[in-house]
Amino acid sequence: MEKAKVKRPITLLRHISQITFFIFIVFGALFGLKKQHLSLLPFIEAPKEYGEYKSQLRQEGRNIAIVGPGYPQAFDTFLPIKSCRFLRQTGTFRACFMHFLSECIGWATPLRLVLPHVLLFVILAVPFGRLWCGWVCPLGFIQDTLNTMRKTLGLNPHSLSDRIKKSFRGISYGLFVSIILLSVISAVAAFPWTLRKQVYLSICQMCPSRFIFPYLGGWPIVHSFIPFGYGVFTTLSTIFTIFLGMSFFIKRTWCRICPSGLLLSVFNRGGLLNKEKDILKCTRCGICLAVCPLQNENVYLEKSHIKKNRMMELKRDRNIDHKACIHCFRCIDFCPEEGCLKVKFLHIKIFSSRPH
Amino acid sequence: MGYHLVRALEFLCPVCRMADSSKEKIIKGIEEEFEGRYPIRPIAERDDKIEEDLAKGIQKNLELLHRYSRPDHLSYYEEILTTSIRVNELKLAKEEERKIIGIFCNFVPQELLYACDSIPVRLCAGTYETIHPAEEILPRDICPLIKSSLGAKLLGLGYFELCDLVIIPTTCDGKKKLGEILNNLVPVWMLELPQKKDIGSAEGLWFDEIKTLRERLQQFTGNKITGKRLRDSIELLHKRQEVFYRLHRLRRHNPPPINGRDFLLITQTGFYDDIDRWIEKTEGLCDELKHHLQPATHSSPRLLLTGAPIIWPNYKVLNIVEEAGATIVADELCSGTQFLYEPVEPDEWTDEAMLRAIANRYLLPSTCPCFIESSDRIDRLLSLIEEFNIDGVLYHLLRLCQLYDIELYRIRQVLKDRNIPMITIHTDYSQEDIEQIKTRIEAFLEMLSNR
Repeated sequence: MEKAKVKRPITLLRHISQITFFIFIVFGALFGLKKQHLSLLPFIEAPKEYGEYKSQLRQEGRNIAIVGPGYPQAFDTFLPIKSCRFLRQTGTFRACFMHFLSECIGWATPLRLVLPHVLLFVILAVPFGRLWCGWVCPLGFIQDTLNTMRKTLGLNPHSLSDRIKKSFRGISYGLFVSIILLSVISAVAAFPWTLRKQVYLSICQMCPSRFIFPYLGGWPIVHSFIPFGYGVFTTLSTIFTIFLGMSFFIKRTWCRICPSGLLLSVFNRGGLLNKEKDILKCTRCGICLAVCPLQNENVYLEKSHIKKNRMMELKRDRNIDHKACIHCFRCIDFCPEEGCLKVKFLHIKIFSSRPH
Repeated sequence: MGYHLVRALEFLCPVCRMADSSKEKIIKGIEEEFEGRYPIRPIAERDDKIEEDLAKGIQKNLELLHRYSRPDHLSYYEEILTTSIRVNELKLAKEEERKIIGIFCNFVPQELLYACDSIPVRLCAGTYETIHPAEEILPRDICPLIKSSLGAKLLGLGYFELCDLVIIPTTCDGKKKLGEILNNLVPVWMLELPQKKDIGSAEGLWFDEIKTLRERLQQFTGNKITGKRLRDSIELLHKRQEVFYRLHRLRRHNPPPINGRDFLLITQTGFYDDIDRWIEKTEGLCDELKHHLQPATHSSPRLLLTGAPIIWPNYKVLNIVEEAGATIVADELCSGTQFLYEPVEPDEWTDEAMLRAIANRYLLPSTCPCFIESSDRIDRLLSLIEEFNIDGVLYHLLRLCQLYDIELYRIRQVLKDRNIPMITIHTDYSQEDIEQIKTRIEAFLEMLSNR
């Protein structure tokens, strides 16, 4: 009896990782992961000052969607993924790093409280870059699941033109910058309180997680469209949720504009995890191009970027990291050329493509 | 403004767009590809002497091959190529109303042909004897492959007689014009091949062409190419590719378990043979070869074969080279490795993804010199040289095939830079220049052994 061969081992591993992390991050508390039961590293606990801001907001007497009951999380830390704060009862992590950034700027938290978290983020992000998006992020998993549903139904996928892809990249920069700016506005006392409280935590107010995770975590919140400030954000958030829902047709729509992903993508090229391509072995079959969920062309095009008649002087293994790459390694899993694409960590080969 | 609005709506609603694209396209249908207002009248004289000569040539090839101790499984391939077993099988299939479709070159997607329950047969011919009858229609100064193929059709030999339809991609000038002439004898469809193979415009053009081919095939055969059937045929051909790849990799050993002629024999049996049987037999062959691998020696020079296609029974150059003591361990021929090397790997099993994977497989990795750039072909040669530990390169040129000839200079330069010796053999299907080639190859091999 021949041993059953797994055709796509890396993709299988990734799916297992995604499901495990999804259950751990979204429903971890249901399996006894409570703060009381875990010994925590005290220096990475969330800054205490947050609570005061919340009570100030609560004194306003408004049912503000973004402020929830203060359940303690098992890990009082911020991951570089969408480990959402709206998973108060069931989640294991406090929030995502963008939330932390926005809140710290908004509340002008002292640096000594901020630094441990930033350090943790750097430790997590530098080695892996956007590997978090492809292998861990629960929002990414939801998008992949939507896409799997389409595949099962046998509907054709929809791909984006270059121009739209580029404009999505622009939107992602715009979102990141506006989140930081709005956080600054909410911090500066010179602005009126009515404005400051409305732009407080703008990331959470416009994030599609706001519509998805509360329902998964069993804590539905009221999405108010009035007054005006909240209304704008709620509308934005609704648009983004629909946008995310479009990953049914277009793979990973939200990941193309995600500001957290943008922050992580800084470490894609300069990080420790690299992808390389042997340009001589590449037959340009275009499989890597067809299987990329984010339609990155650089893996395929690397060969044609080489200047005329300079093959002799150039090294054959060329770096193919791209800022939009989520390290799902599908290109490596599908590449039929032995040793053409490889993944390297600290310049040590982890695995490479092989024939099927 | 209106345009942008429509584009925005289109983007926002993929469902709308899908509904739009599923609308029936106006397709030319299976009506004639050519108008054919001025048909030519080919004279087809079936000459027994030609068939005798053909059989003699084949017999001579076999005799030369049988001088070596060869794996037992090879007798099957010889049987398919030399006897009329497969022709009779195809005749039976034809009685069951299965269509037999002749194809030329490496660009016709066999997945589609299998999916509509027809049988593809690759018609590129290598018989010298059929050249003469074709010269009545074609000029003398045209590549022997074209003449040989047309001649075989004029004489009504074997597989040519059985085809219900011939599909020819517009690769070189010879193939382009061959279609119009053949159209007087058998229905011909031309497959328009882009001249570039980039992922911008050319990929889209080719994808549309493949889509149209699917529609036309459905109408022609009367069988609908459903998603399931397409998937089955992709998986079937993928299996064939896997087996082929296994065989291909076995040749890395030193000494290689199989010589170049036998390898081409196996590949070219795949032109005609029943695919399931071919897979089964080749698997058996691979197992046999694996058990009889010999320890490494430094005996015969390892050669890489590239250039114009060598097709059974035109093994003249191969016979000379391998009789002189060298072994061809790898090739980059469109009638050899390139025919089966690339797999179709669809991203997912939806209709569009499968079709796109098929279209990409036949266009993008092709090393055919009919495309505007030769860089990919040179990359492929260099990577084969490294992978198979090559001592020298044999560049086979068919007389009057300009495309391979034009690329020669660049490749010679690249190989010279890397200090890899190369020999160029300029020849055609005739047997006249055997002694001359022999002298040159012997000198080349001696030079290799002195290095």
